[in-house]
Amino acid sequence: MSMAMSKTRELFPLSSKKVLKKTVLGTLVWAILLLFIYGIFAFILLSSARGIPDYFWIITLAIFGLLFLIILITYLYQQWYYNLYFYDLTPDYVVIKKGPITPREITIPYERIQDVYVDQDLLDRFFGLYDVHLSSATISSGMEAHIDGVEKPAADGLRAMLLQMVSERISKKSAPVPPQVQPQV
Amino acid sequence: MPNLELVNYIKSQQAKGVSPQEITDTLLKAGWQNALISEALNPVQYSNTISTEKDYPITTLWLFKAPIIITLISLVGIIFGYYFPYLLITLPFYLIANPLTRKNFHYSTEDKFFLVKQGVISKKQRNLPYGVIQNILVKQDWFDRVFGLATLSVENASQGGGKGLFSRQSDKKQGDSVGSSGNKVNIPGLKKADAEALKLVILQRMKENPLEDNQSGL
Repeated sequence: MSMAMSKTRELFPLSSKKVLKKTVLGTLVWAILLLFIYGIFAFILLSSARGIPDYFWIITLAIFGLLFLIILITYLYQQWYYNLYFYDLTPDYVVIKKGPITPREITIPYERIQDVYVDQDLLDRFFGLYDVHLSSATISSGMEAHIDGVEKPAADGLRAMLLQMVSERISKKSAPVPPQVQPQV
Repeated sequence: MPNLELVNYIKSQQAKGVSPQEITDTLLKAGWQNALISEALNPVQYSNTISTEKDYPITTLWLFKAPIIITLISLVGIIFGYYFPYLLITLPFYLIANPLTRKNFHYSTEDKFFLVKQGVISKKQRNLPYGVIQNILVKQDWFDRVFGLATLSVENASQGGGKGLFSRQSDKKQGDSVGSSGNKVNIPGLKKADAEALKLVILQRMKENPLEDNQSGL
């Protein structure tokens, strides 16, 4: 499957642990729910005096089979999502595009970035991942514009690069750089 | 057609009072060809083209987007033994309203403003200065993905960045709305390639019209 690579992603790669983290996050509720149902069921059957009926094993198999299927599908989807996760710090804009089925692409000029911050949630702590957020003054940019699932060096690198680009852009002293030569089409 | 980036750079340097000779020297040093530079330096040769809804139109298919979705939902419902009469009641509404909305929707990338005119009965005109555009979104939902369409939305920071409008329901409604609402201008039902092209046109305009005032918090 093709990867959505950019210079920025080559320099500051997404961690492949992101797929694992997202799989755990996506299937945790299902796993707890199914195991809970299974637990109650097993408790009722085992506490009855008549012993374990034959269909108990079929139900065990069905529940664990379903759980396995859910995990497999989530894993494959997250792997796809990971492959098509695109982010690029071009000379003028930050471009972030995600979503394999219904893609959303956001373009933010550096001058409009209001905030750059790095955070971790609980699962990120376990996997050693970081989320780099950048947002402009709109609500939708807060929701769309983040690069999540990078490791420490990449997160620090991204943050430093973003901050440097932004401060270069908004300082009035700097002269505009001559545009880069583009290959003739 | 000279390179727009080059023209933009030259304009900004000329505004600072740098002589054409110095500009040429800097550009030559950066690796640009002499012919390209002199072409861009000559202001008579180019005129800024203005893109309008005629260049990147809302496709005819978009008119039938809501009806198709409604029909699909109804069909699936019927297969499973339910049917939603109230959904079908809205069908003629969409079939009449969508063409009218599209016919009365105009946008153009003017020199200083992104101009949007809309409204069937109550008219609305919005001038969005390029300097205050916060971000540009290109989105595709599953319908768009199947038929190769895309929605372009251009946002600025008015109305609290969309805070007042922010809730699940109004967000869904906004996704399909045409033209300016709240802090954004939505142009749905563009062809994917058209949406990308229009995005580049607006990004180029934003580069040409930077905001002198420093508003970033960093």
